[in-house]
Amino acid sequence: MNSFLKTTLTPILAVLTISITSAAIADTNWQKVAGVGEFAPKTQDWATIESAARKEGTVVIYSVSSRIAKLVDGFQEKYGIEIIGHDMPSDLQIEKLRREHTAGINAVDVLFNSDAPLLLNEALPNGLVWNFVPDGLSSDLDAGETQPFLIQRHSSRVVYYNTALNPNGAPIDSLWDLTSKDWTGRTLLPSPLEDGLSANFMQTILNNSDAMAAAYEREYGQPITYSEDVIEAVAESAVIAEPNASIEWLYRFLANEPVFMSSTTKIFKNVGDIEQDNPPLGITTFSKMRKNKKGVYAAAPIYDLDPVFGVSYPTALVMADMAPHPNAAKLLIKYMMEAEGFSPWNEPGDFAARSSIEAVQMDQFKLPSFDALKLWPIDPEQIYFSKYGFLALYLGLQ
Amino acid sequence: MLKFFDSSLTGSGKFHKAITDPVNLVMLILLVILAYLVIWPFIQLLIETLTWGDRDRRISPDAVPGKFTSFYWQQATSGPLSRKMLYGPLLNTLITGVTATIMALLAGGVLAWCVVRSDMPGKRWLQPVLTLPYIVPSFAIALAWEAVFRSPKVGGQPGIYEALLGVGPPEWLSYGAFPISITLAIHYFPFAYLLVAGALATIDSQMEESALISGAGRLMTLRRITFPVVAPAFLAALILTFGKTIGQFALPFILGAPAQFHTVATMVYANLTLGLDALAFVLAIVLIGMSLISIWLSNRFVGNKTRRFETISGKGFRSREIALGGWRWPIFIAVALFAFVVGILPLILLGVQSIMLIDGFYGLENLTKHFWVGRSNPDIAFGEPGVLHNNIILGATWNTLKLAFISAIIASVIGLVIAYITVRRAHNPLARALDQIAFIPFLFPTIAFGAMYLTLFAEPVGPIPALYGTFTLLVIISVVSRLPYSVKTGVTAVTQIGQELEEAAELAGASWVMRFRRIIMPLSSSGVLSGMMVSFVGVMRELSLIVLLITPSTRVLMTVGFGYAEEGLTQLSNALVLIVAVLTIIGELILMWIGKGKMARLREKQS
Repeated sequence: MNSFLKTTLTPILAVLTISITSAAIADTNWQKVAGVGEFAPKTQDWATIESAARKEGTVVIYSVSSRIAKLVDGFQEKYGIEIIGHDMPSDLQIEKLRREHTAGINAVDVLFNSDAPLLLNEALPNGLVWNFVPDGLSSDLDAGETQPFLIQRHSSRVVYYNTALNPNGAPIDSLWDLTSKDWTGRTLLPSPLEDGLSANFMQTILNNSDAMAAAYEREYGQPITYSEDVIEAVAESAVIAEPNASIEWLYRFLANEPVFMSSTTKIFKNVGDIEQDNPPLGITTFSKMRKNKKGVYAAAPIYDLDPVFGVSYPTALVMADMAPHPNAAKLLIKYMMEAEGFSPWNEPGDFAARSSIEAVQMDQFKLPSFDALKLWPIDPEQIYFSKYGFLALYLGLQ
Repeated sequence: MLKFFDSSLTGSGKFHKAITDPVNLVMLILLVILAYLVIWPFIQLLIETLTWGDRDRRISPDAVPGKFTSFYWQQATSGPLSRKMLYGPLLNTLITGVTATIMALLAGGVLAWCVVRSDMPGKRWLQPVLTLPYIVPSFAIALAWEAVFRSPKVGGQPGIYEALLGVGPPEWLSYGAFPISITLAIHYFPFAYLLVAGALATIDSQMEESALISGAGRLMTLRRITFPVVAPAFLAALILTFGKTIGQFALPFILGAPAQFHTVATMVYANLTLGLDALAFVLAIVLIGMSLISIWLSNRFVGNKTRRFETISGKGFRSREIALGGWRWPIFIAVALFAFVVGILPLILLGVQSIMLIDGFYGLENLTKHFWVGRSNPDIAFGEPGVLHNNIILGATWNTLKLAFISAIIASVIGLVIAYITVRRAHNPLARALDQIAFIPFLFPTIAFGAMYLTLFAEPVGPIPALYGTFTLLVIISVVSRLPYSVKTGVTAVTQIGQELEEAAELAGASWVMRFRRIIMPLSSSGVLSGMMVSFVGVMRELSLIVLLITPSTRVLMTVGFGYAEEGLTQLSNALVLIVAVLTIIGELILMWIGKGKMARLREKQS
């Protein structure tokens, strides 16, 4: 047995070690060439990057939005570089990259991704992706928009109401109204079990229980009390120590028969359709605003809902580790942060991270600035670590 | 006679014969290939449910990646969550699965008999129409149901039911077990229809005639001759339909989620959405187990009682239609109406929606050709041009057709070989194992399958080159995913072919390959062709299986359509679904035309 170990396992281990170290060396070499991480130069020499990028000729991007196709011609014309875009949901991008990385396949340069929890907790710590911030952007972005990764825009899930049939303004003023008898069976949203962003919405509310408790007092004029079911569910849970206002809200909300629909567009339309008697409320994507149409759909977010009218999440641009076209990747990231490269995503309700572009948007769409809106940003750390607890709680309350 | 030779051989001679027997050789080769393509991914799936993964430090502080744990199985089967996560959904799955399967088998069987055996008029064009519900994506059928029986509480335009009757439909008609069962049955009855039709086509009418001559009535003939002969086809249809209905998640989500009605499949999907893959895999293995049990039960209680009948013998063969008499037209009208409602109406709805400038707004002034033939207009659909002006779509169409044709043909041939081995070597445990293995891909969570194939073929392994990003890889995974269908249809077909034909050929000196090519393949072609159509349609519509393996140069129509749906461009994604449907019908007609020619020549030779 001993000799077996020596003769068979030792060479295997040696080969493994060599291949692992050589992979590590290759990675370090790549970081040097690409100029990322500790090898990032003090100042970026864009003339050199551009000429190297032109030589690379192509750039491959995994994109959460199919609108990436809109950039192909413009980028080709400007830099002579072809964009090869793969449309893919954010979580699958990271799954694909992880498996390719393990197998030694280096196929992708840039990830355009809105799964901040996975980026922060899996992709970055495992060295699958690198943060690259083009020089000169820092003054135009908040600190949280350049670290730990570069953010291109902020999208949101918000509560909508029908404006045509509620000429005197929104029919509700607090998230707690969604749990009242008036709205039984009349809130539309994608199921948190089917739609990751809807789960993020609920998890973010769960993460802000103090604000929810305060909103309860403002709404009902007395401190919150917990239902028996909530106390019981919490007692059964291994993760949650004691009940709070957010859990109570989720319980009452689920008991109030919300209607789960898979299409966010359809939710917008069912809320905004002006030819109905009793329009429901809906939790859907902020940027669906663009679908408003005179005489057909009229809906708007309830901006002054207490404590918030929605939850926002960022879309990031990151460089893939071992990217085969690192210079073209940098150029594309820079391009997508500029007005021209941002244009496919320029719509009301999607806010550019760059203040200069956002200012143009506010003017164009007559909207307040992103920072002024009553939105809770998702907490990627909390969302990532409480997924299982959320599922358990959600099923327990149902 | 063969037995006699066998027993006279010595032990080593037996062994020699066993390994030189080409059937055994093919069986072993197939076992090795399937072990790599099916069992290995399945074992990985199982391992993932029994070990802590990298992500699991968020579930438990004790989680050490790579270490054994029974946490997931405990959580799913006995934890406080198990009732909501497994047992409740399991009950719902059984209710909808069994109801839908019974309805689908009834509808499919009756329709197949009408189309194949009776002298009903209009059969030629009813045949392809009856397979349409399977071509239309299940979500389209669910949405059509929703359009009719929409509950007033979801807002927007009232459903057709409410518009006509003035009151909203009762809740159970809008959402839950009832609509899910019915729409599942509508979506999957073409399985039973195609399989039973394939088997009915091989019934020699001389058998029925002799029954009639011997004094049996019509019903008696149906009960004692026709039904027993098609029983294996029913069995195959039962297993496939039940398996598919319990694995389907899109439809239960649309019609179940509004009423918080969960099935095991929707729970698998929910866990994957939340990134809790190991829990999703536990539930997926439960589903695989359920369908294996259903196979075992049906073999035990149905399979053993129905003897397998060889209907294609060395003697002459005739197929004569049964006269319906005065029922001819009423039956035609009933079948045609049914075919129209389940097959054509959903397509018309999709078509109408694809020419509406504003989705869901009915009115002539709202109609537009833009989404089909329009040039890019920045005011509509982000400037996306109409589908017929889109170069990406032209490339994707070609890829889709190539993939569907090649995969369907390869899957059918391999499926037939496996079926042949299963039937002819029924007492060999390895042959039975082959049959079971070929069925596993049926309920494998497709997205996990795709992810594993990404790794499996990333680097060259032995003689297999690296297949990353190639079209070949798409073909391999599509073929494997269609094997459950092609093996089941193959078994139905091979069962009916008499052994004597092969024995005669063998005595005349024909090799096994020759026999397979000249006897088995042509004689089973009607059944296999049905299976090929099912596979063709299946590959055309597949998305999640290949989404991780697609590159822009191997893009297929469904991935493009997915992008449109994601952006809320309903008209464009509907237009794509219609293109897929039309291409599928054309493909079916071509396959049918090839098959007709073959069968006709064969019949000519026999008579």
